Amino acid sequence: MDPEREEKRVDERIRAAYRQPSAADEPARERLIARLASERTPRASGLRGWFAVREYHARPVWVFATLVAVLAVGSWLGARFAGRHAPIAMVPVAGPSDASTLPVTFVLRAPGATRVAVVGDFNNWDASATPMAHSGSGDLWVLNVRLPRGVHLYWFVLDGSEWRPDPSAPLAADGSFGGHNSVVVVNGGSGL
Amino acid sequence: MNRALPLVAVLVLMLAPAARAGDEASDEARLGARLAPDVARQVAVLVQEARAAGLPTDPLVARAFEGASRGADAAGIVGGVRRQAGAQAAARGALGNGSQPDEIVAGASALLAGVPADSLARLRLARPGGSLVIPLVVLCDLVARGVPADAASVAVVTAARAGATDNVLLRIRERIHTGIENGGAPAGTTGEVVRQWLRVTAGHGRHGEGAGGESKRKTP
Amino acid sequence: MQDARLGLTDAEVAALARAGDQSARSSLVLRHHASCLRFARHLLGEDADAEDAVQETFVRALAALGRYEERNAFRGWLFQILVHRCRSLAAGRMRRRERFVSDDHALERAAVAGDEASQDAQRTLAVALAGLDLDHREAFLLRVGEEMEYEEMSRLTGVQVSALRMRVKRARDHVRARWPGANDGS
Repeated sequence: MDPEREEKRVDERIRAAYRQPSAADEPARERLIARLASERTPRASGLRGWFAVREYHARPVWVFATLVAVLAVGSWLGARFAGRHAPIAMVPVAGPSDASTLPVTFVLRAPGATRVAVVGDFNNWDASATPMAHSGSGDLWVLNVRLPRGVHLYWFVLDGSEWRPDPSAPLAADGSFGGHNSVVVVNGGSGL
Repeated sequence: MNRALPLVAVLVLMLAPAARAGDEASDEARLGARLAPDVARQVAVLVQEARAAGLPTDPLVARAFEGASRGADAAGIVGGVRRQAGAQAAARGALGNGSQPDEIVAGASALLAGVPADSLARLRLARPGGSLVIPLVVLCDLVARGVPADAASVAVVTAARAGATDNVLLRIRERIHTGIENGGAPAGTTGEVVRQWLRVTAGHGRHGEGAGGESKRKTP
Repeated sequence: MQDARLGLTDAEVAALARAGDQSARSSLVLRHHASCLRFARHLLGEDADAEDAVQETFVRALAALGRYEERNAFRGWLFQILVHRCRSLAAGRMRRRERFVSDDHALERAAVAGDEASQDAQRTLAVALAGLDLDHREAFLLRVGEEMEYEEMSRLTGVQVSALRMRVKRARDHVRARWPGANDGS
């Protein structure tokens, strides 16, 4: 056999023997992962006084109580400020400015439609809640609303039955109920 | 401080269940007003699980109402909510635990559209410290319009890494749409629009070299 | 346990890990633990020492991610730390023994996974490696076992490429001479 090929062949067999896994590999890896999990990074040092870093010495009762306290406060605060508690009836922009909502204008050109509404996350998908106004020059339908900051999905509904995406808006994923919702992002800058 | 902490812990422990029960009652009331009792109950469980996991809950309620208004049956509504919940959890996993709720919602949409989780992670790397909502919305939109997920991902990540702002990404999205509507192949059009932008940016960014200066950025 | 970030490069995962992402740290372990452990085991000839060396390597590497420069291959950087750990451990033992592993030890410590043929091959390898000094063994394992390029080996060992080539050649001749069927021309 050609010496170079022969050398390659032997190398391959050596390599195969070298790479053969051992029964001790996985336990060793698990021990490493456990060790890494027990070692805190410097950024977490704020809690270091309460949690032992390399050797677990803390009294379990107080560690548990502290953990639960931190989690409970966090989730309670999160729930207070993230949730909305009742359906919002949308009305055209009026009244004092509210920092938690921003003005958004929906526009659709729909020649031939007799009524158009916006239906989406922000009105609990109630097609009767936010009718659009027919703009003077014939085909345009307009709605000005105030929406909370965030990502909102919606459709236009024409004459009570035709669901149409907003041609000028980005599309969301196919939302399990047929078709792609339109997306409006309300943030500090201009909404989409 | 050592003596006060157990007291604080006890106080919070007493308050937390009351607050939690308040949220749950509110969920069930909202859901029950629109959905059949059985569906409302199942969806409420998913909402509570999401809340416990620190994931957004409003999109789950919204998904249930969307299903109801679209005439979906009970299984369809619950399935839709469950998919949304799962996608949100996966989005947070890919984007990182510090992600904003809006990023998680936008990321969930991207995953549901077929964008791989790795792309979300890469997007986080491409724009560390900045909001990913618009990049994710743009990415999801491209895929929803027929651009293959990998081509869309490379395009958006590349643009973000090169410093594209939200407004730029939205303009890129519009140009890609126009290109596709004019008959361009989705993947090819996407790549070309981003390359064009990179060339233009490279030209403007190199003072004294003029628009013809060579870009050292890797193109997709 | 699954690597949750299969599609990402090492550099990308390292960047995530540097930012504090715990699952990215686990990804790096999942990707490289096996190769580090087999290298250390064959280099040092003892499971316990090998595990120590690999643990220390990962602990130091993950703590020092800020120093990892993405233009270098992550694996090479990791192996640089590993090679130094192994050398330190071996130097500690060198004062006690002339060889790192006796032939008897090699027979005992050889991995017992796999069928009889692969077990034989592993024992043969262990015995053959036992006859090499640390430098030759290290070069041989990096080149033949881990298939590293000489430039990378030079970077992580600090040894010139020409010297590494010589060591690999001598080590290869030594191992091949002890490998059954290596010289029968089949």
